[in-house]
Amino acid sequence: MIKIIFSLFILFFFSSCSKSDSNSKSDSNSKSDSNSNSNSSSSLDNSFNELSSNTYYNTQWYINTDYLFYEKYNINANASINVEDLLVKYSGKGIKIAIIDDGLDVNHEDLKNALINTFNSLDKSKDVSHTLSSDSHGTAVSGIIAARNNNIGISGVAYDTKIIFLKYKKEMSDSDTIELFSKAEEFGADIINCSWGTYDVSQAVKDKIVDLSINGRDGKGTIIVFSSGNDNQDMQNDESNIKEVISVGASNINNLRSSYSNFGENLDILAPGGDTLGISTLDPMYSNGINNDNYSIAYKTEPFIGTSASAPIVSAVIALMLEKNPNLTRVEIENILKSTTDKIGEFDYINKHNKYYGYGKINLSNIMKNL
Amino acid sequence: MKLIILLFIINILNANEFYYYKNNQKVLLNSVNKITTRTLNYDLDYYKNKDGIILAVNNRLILKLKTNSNLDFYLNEFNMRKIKKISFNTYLLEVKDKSLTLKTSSLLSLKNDVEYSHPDFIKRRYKR
Repeated sequence: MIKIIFSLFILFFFSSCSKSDSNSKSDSNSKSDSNSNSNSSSSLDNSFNELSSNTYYNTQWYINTDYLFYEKYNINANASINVEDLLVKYSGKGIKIAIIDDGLDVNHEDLKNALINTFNSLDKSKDVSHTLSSDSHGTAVSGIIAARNNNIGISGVAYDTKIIFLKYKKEMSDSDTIELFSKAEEFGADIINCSWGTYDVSQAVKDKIVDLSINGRDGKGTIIVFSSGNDNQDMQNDESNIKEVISVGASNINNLRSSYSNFGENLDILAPGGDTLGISTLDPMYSNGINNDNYSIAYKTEPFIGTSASAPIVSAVIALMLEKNPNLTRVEIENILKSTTDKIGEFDYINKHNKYYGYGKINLSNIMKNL
Repeated sequence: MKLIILLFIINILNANEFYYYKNNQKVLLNSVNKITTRTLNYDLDYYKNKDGIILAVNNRLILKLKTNSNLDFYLNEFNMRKIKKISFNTYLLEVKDKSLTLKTSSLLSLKNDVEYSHPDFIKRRYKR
């Protein structure tokens, strides 16, 4: 008898959850459009369960407001990018993101089938494997964007995007830099993520970046995202200070600007980059990275922290935007990003902007409502 | 005493003899012989700008011409070789020796039908 009552209770409970979920899902352009409401809600539930089944998903505080994790680490309730159920509906499918970085663990278990094109600036080959175990940066950046939703590790913010990986040289000439941006263009990148900077962009490199931003994607403009830097200083002559790029600073678990985050009049937006708590992502497999695990987890030693983590979060969000509306221009994307932010922090926003927070912190839910 | 003053003036003048043009503004550079954080490549000349950023120079420069300008004319005038076209009206060129790169790009920058010219600077990428 007790068993029967318990079973009825469980049935009633799940039926209520399902109803409540179907009420909250109003987005008409979602993956589930073709299904009935109940089917779609059930499908969304399954998809959310899939996301949660990624081993370290509970530590991804920037996209997952896991109650226990938030409570344990005293994370501000609004510190994430406010994904609601949007990562179930959108995954960046059909969008190509070029990542210019130091190298990639091309065999990483959590990046299977993500990579579609590669180029190595050093020897002009297709081998973009990281050279040293300390060159784990590119793998970490790639993971934030495109780690697969596959029951292991973490989930990227845009886990179905395709990756074009372009390996840079630590000391690189302007012409080589231009070549990498040209390769991104040649390989059909919609978005280019640059979690690096030189602090002194040359005229020819700036020209190339501006040209792609305006004329790329058949005239709609390639979206180029740069991290602002981690020196708590003005961006000055850095690549991130080019008006046509999306310049990204870092926020932390207190939903404030991370104290190291560079700033300036052209800073566009903040996204989680962490400080006391890092951003969970990939580390090259086994002992080939900075630790012996395959992941760099937010609370463990040597976590991934910085505006390098913030930029790929924004790049991935843009992939979700383009999945919903592939015809958006670079200018439209920039305007939507800027007009949907959370105005966090201690400084006043004059004309909706201040130089430490840009236009504020990215808010995915607000963005998708405005598309 | 006069000699000391003269040497002092010459020293001041020589201190800023390295420069290139950026946005039509002269950017002064200081020559660097030693960098504690990295091993120097002897095929390159090293300079530091006013913000302390290290810029390495080899024998290559980038030239962007205005529309209808004649590249060959400048290749001859400055004894340069074209390596490749980078983008519209923009070329990667080579001079005979790295010691000529800054001077040549500065002279080119002053030409009426040149949009800009600067060395093909080699810079460090900083991960963030």
